[in-house]
Amino acid sequence: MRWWRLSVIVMLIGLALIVMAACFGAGSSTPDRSITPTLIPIRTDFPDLVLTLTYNRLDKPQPEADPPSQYDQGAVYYWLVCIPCHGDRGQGLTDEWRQVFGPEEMNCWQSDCHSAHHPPDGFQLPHTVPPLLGPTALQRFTNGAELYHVIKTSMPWWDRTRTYMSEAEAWAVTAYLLRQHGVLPRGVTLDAANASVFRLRTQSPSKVEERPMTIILVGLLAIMAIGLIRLGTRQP
Amino acid sequence: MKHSSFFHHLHPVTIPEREARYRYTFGLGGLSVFLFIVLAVTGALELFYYVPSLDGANRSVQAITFLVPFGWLVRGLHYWAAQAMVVTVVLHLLRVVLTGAYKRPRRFNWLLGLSLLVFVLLLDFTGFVLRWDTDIEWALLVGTNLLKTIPLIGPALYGTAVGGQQINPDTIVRFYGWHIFGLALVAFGVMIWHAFRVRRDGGISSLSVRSRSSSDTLSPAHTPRISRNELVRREVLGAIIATIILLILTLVFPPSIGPVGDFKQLPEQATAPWFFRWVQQLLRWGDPLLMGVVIPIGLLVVLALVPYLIDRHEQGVARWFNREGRAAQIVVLLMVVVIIGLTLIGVLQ
Repeated sequence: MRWWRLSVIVMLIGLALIVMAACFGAGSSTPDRSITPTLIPIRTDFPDLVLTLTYNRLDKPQPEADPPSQYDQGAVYYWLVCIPCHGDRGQGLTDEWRQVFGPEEMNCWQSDCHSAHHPPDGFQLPHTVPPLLGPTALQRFTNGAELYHVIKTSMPWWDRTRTYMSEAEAWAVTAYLLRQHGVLPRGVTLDAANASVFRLRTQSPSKVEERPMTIILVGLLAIMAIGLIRLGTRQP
Repeated sequence: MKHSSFFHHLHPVTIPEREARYRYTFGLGGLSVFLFIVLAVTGALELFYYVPSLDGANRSVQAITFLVPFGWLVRGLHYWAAQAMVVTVVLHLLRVVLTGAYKRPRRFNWLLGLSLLVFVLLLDFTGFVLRWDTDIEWALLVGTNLLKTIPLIGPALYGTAVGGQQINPDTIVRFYGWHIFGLALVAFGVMIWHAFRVRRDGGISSLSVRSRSSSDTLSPAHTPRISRNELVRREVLGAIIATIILLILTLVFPPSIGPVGDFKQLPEQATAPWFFRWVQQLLRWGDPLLMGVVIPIGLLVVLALVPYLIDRHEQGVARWFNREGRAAQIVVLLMVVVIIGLTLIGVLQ
């Protein structure tokens, strides 16, 4: 009999855990921003790479809209300029990503062009390039305006003259990154007037939740008003 | 409730019970102060996201409305508090006229109150322009051009208001500066002065402090009074009800925001903000200087002269439609009827 009771308790606990896991797992509103790099063959003369061919990692991104949206322009600019250091998925200059370069370029900071003793038209490549996407990425930035400022004034790495990247290009790249982080809605054009609105790592309450919350506030205020009226009638 | 709190000490210890009733003041002065506080708080929140530039103004208002968490609510409260404040201030003026509360020794405070009415209208006007959408075309083009019609000082006034001899990128910065610093901050100071003068002039106008010659004067010692705790309770109740109304207005009638305006020429359908529709209607009938400047300023001068020329009696304070102030009541009510009539004609056209 005791064994039977114990089994029932264990089953109930197990059932409760399954329900909790279902509630907190499936219902979580936080998007999974982790990156799973898809390895594909880019150099057939480099047999050590075992990759799955789904698409070419160095292909030019296809625009979502016609004419291309700001996001599309940012994706193309990222592909054209940012991808060597920051990776095709914003993973940073990882070993896996460098392997895509092939044996000749994968240790580029040892080359003449990107070592500490690079020629005037080269530049020193940092050993560590921070990831732009993923749960640990862009931790120092609060919103789109900050991200834009750093992109515009510090990027690309080899040219900080502020003339390399136009404002429109910097906004486009910022829009691309914010969309990748899931904080810039589709169809919104990013600019100085709204960039600070889009906050990284912050899940703002949706418009659906704001109106009911306001209606609840009206109700609470009405209760307070009734309380104050009753307080007045009790006084001599 | 702590009796020694700062908030309580802003109030007199007691006030006359008769004049503390809602149907005497309707709480209109207190409501106006509360709306000013709502405007200051919501305005400060809007400043975090508002970009006062030619490219950014309209887009940032759109961002506040559609993207910022609870931005629509903050903007809606700011908008409706601003509209409500015009109504409460005008009704407060009417209450003061109809109860003879402008009479000596409150004549100077009447002038301070009138200046606050002007501040409220200008604050609404400049705040309206800050949206920088297609709806502001009349206000921006006709409203500011009226300044140019003033002889001698007109062009200089226009330049000071809009930052040049025509609408330009600096105009938005000028209106931003006028709205927040040049008007709101100064209005706050005058509002404090106005409230101070109420206390200085003997508190709320009441029968107990009427002229000694009046037969129905009550001695202050025998006048029923309420404590400031009760006064604060009524004020908080009024503020909560006002907040509920503002929230419901925001939920049901959210303020509009149109696309960015093209201010090169005035469209035929351009309309003034509702509180200046009567001026727009006057402008359709005659010379801009006369209709848009002289008449509005003339009406203001007439209002200013109410306690100095139209009704110099000291009797009749704190009595609705008192006989001594009949001339002032007729003049002001006539003025209000004409303004409402012109507004209705403008709306119907």
